[in-house]
Amino acid sequence: MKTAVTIRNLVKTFGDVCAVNHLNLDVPEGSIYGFLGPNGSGKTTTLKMLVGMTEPDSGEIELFGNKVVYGNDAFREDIGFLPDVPGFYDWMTAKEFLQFSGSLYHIDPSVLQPRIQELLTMVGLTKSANKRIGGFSRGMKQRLGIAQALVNDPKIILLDEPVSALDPIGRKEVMEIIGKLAGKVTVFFSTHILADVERICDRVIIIKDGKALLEDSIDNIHAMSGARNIEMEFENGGTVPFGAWLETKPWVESLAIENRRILLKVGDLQIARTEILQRVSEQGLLLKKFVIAEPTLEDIFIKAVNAHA
Amino acid sequence: MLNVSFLKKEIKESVKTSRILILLALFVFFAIVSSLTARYMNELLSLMSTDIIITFPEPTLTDAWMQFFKNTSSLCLIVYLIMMTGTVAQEKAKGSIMLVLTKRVSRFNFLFSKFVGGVVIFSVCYAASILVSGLYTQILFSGFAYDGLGMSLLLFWMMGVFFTAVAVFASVISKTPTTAALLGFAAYALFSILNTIRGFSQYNPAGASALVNEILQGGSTTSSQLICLAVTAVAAILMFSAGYGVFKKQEI
Repeated sequence: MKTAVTIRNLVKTFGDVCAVNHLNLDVPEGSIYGFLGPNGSGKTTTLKMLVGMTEPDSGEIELFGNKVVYGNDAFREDIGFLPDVPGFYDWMTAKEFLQFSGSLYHIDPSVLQPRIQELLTMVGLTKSANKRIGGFSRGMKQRLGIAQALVNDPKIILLDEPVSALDPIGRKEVMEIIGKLAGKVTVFFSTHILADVERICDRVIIIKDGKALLEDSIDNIHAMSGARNIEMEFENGGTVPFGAWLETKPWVESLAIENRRILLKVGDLQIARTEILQRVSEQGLLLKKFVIAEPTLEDIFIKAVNAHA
Repeated sequence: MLNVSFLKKEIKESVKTSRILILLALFVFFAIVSSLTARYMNELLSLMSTDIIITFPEPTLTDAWMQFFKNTSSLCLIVYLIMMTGTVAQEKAKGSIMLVLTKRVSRFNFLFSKFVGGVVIFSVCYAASILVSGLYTQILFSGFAYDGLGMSLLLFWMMGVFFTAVAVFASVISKTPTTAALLGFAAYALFSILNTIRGFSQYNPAGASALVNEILQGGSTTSSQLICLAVTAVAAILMFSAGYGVFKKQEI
């Protein structure tokens, strides 16, 4: 598979603070790539370097095999960008803004007009096309932001925290639009909201303090994570002695007891399952519930971030 | 070199946000007031002093133009300068600069379009005020032209171009529109103070305001006017280049 974005040993410091620390990543063409990290982890700085707004201290960035050189605008045709806080001209209407955005790429009006209609329909702003942006909600502005990022029919769109400031409805709407772009254009988007990444991304990178902690496909990340959650509930008591027995087991990573419920995280699911069920049988306990839950991306994220704390 | 789409947006923005209308109203108001006050100042002063009799020389059309240049170089130019200093700083503060510069607009295109946009707005307001002032002077003084009127207007226009470059520079180096406005005003004050140095006005990019007075009084030479014109033009280019030099390396 071809690579849309390649970053090698990217470094950016602001005074004593190292915002991006020897970052490496590869974004496959056509993928939806999640750029995940807590606030202040270097996501926006990386994106700004990718779009040529900030100069890296060292390292290399390539977009579709072409080197991104700070101050050179040649790569702009290939990208669409939505910053974390998009500043629109409030006096313009949505349609005027898209026309203005298209004209900055010198797109022929005969191509631009149908494209604008198509984009307005895609982001659900057809009815508000002739309304002033100043009266738009945050969600509408973000949807318009995605439309303007797509106006030049780019090969990749880079979205910086596109849903962070939105309410649940606005978030859902924007995430659905991003999800619809799958296969049509490469999407590289940063966020600290794990549920969004899990829902639509093919691959993900987790960064903290400008360093990559984990980079893989969502499926592989789930598979490689050894830890599993087990939830058990007893019908006839015996929770406390059972909990005490569990505490002695090396495969138990964490344990919580709530009345007749036991929640535990295990390192080796196979051994845990066998030994737990054997013990239950030996003790004559009656199980009401025994559920094995996959770790969520949140679990993996917290684990990865804490491991490097 | 010039991004026509971005320039169009600049002009349209000044109309939609009423900036150009405010400036036009201000420039035209002072154009009218200049001729009127020159013509009726003697009568006004006589009305105010009832006890003593003051004799003033009969006002002429040069008094009207002197008043016009005085008002335009102070109030009108300051308001224009303050409005113009927000040009880049506002886009940075609002974040709209990111949406433009990540498209096919180079930093030079961006800044040069801002500069040209400013010059166009100033020129429109200035032209309107000249027409109105000329008209009122003609009505009130039965004539409007004097020797050196063309050069006076050209010198003044060039000073406006220079202050546009100053505004762009102040806007580039400032993080907020308020800082930019304060810097712009400080620059205006500094260049105005330089005019008080005797014989320096021809070398001062803001020397037009002093030179036009000399032209009106018949005490200015063609060479000093041409020197001032050239100095102002070069200073405008240098000021814009300095702004671009900073902007090119500025991380946004």
